[in-house]
Amino acid sequence: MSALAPVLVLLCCGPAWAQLVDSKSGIFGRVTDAQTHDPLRRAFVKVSKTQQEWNEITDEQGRFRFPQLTKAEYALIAHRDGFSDRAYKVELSDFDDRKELPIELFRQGLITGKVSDNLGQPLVNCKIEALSARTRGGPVQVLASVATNDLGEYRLSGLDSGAYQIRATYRNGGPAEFGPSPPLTMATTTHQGEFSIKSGVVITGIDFVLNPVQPARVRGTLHTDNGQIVSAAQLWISGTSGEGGHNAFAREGKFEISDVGPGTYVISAETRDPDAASFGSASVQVRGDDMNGIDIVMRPSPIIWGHVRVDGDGSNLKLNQIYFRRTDQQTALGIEAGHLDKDGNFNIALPPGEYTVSPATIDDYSVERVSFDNKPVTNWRIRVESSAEPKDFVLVLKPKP
Amino acid sequence: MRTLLIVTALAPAIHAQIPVSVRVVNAATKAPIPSATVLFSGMQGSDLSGRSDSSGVFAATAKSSGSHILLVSRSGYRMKSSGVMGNTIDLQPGREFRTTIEMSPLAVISGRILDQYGDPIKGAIVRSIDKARDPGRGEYYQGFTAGFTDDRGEYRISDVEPGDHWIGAEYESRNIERFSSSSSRYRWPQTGGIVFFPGVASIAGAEQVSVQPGEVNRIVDLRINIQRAVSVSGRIKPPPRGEPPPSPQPMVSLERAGPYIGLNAFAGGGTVPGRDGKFQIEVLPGTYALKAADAEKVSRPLMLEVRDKDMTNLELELNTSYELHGRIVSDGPERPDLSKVVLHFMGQPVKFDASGSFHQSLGGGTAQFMLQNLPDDWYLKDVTIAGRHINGEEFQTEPGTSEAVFLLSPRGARVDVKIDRPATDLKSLAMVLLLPEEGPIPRPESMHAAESAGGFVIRGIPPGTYRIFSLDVNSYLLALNPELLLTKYRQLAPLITLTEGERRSIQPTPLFIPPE
Repeated sequence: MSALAPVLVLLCCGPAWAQLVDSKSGIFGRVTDAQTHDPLRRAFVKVSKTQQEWNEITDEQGRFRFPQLTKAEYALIAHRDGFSDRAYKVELSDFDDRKELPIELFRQGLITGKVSDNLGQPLVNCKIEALSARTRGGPVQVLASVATNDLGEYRLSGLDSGAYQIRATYRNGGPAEFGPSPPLTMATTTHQGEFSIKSGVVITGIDFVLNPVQPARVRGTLHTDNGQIVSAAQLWISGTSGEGGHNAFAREGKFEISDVGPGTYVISAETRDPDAASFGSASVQVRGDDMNGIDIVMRPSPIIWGHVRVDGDGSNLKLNQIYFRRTDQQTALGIEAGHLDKDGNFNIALPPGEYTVSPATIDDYSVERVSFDNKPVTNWRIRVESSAEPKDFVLVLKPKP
Repeated sequence: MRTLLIVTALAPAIHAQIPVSVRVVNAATKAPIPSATVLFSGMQGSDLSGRSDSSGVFAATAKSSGSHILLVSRSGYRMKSSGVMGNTIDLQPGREFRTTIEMSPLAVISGRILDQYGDPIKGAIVRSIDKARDPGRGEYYQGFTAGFTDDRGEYRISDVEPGDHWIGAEYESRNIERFSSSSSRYRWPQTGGIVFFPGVASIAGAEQVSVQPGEVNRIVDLRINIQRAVSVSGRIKPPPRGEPPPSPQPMVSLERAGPYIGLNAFAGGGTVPGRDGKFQIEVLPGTYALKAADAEKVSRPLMLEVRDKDMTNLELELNTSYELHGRIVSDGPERPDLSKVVLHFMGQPVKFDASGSFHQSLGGGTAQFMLQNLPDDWYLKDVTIAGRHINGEEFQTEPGTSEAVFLLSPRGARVDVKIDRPATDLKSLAMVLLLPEEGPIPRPESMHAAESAGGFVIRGIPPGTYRIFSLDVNSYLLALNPELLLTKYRQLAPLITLTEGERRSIQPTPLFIPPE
């Protein structure tokens, strides 16, 4: 018997074993539920080698066949709705025996519940989202979503093992196709605590009570710390869990952000003038009524001076941009690019916050060292503080042997 | 044969503080309906919105007086006895506004979708389907309300209008990848399938499901035979010419045979061939017409019976052209000013020379024309293609070049429309459509914008008998569906017969059109 080693850690829980029915060529197997051992029909199986891949769908007995494949090492991935993807490695020794490959998939988790309003009436078409458990300052990712039916009930399926937060968002727009399009009433909330999902777990009774209200408008002014009006700026409003994010514009120092549901938000403002980029932000607590007089003071954005150096021959380097991706979802685009000059230098104004940095392309080079503000960078993450003093970003590369 | 549309100007409302109270009840039982969304829209858009309380009452203070549209919505119901957009109401300064809105209960259709092995299908879309008709498209089927299956294959289609409907369920794995954030990180082959109640693969053999107001009708389990999409590939001859983008740009299209059904999985597809003329389209099994066309030539359609195997090495030769050599002529000594006239055949407008002649390549043997912006009082009196008179805007031609003659007359009829209410009132007339009593129903795109507010003139009307549809703000969206107006509300609309060159004055009163 030959081992099929797991190749993707997040998908595989342990090794599996498999043999082949034909000693000369071909990959054959059977996909089953890891818990019940029932065959999984209509599952996808993908086998790949370098740039080539082959796909099959399992039959009534959960079987698949790739009779045309010759003896070689392959990657194998199986997929079925309701089960977590799982990857294996097919080794040369797997071609020596005559048993079919047993592919076992683990059932995904499920959360069910109901959403109603404060009168106990079901909220229809309310969006329920499974969010990745958030690291401090990190982004919130929506990993699965579903809408409630006419009874207000939902079944949030397709959850791989892990920890989740569950958010409910209700927006009731105009019912007519050409009718008023903005939300008439809205509400959002995140369920308290995290849900730990393991394979096949069903968590029931995760109910929400929302109180939809007419969305509010938030109005205010933008000026510099010496009182000068900021003529134009881009704004982004986003809830503390990334909910309700949308943009707005300020003109002649004034802004109005519409369609804001009840909740706590951060309003971020930016100007993109390359010579005098500025930023500002304000926290607001919206309770259903319009808010006026929100004052945002704009300050100069910190300037990052970037330097890319090569220890050795840099003639094959095609790197022209370094990307800075904001991780806290407090901007509209969330990504900025520093453009390298012929000497490998760039400068970019970035509002304060945490960023992940990624060079556009460094194919033939490996990273020797990354530093920001004279400190080593780990995991490509940097934190830009609010002081206006210039900061150095240094990336040192080395040609791959 | 044109549809005529006139829009009046609307004036702003006056700032005020007016208490409003709306009571929402079930039209059948008169029971209060809590949690209904209530919206007052004034001239400046949405003024006030909120939800009814446990007694079905929404009470608030409106910020402006004057005409408003009151719209109440609640899942499972629709407003009874309102216009299409809601009710028009007047809010008067210093006077509380109170009203009761009755809501007609809608229905629910529920059930379960399984695959060919009896396993539940997650992510299938199940629709209630009705027959529709458009002047340019003919008869087709369209889904209006839909539900999605959950992990048990269970679905509920809510807000279904009481009556008879076909039920169609489709599964397309690409939908899962596109719309579900819980999808796999890998790319998988496309699979899909379709089924109609009570379990047939074609709508031709399907039966309708009947639902009553407020009913939840659970129908039998439906099984979709899920199949893998196959590849249809080949090349067009000759390959595209010129630097990218090639000129003319060819397109290859694959259209499912039979009546159009507004479902994704079986619609077909289209692609732009590569520089070498090669094309490839992924499609679910079925019967399709494959063809290629560029701005000058078309291929003969290739009928394909797509089963479970890829179809390769198909050849489409762009060797057939359908050309029109046309001219605009006048019915009399006067010459029309063609500088603003737009004539097109579902593509770029044609270019007239000084004598009114033009040349046009068509995309196939079946074509349509549209003629717009005729000079005041002129109308299209007759069209002949290859010597045959055309009734309507669709026509057939043979391969090669056909002669086309568009005969214009300067003696169109003229109707002066008087408005009986000030244009500042939301209840005032918003549009007037003259729809022909007989002959082809005109397309909604041929509507005309207003010339002025407060009273206006419709010119260049072909002689004939028309129904006058006078629509207020509540109902003006029905101008987009002239067939519905003529089919359902013909008797409500007064008749008018116009002779060539006649002038007539009318003072229409807005019709009451219940919601659709």
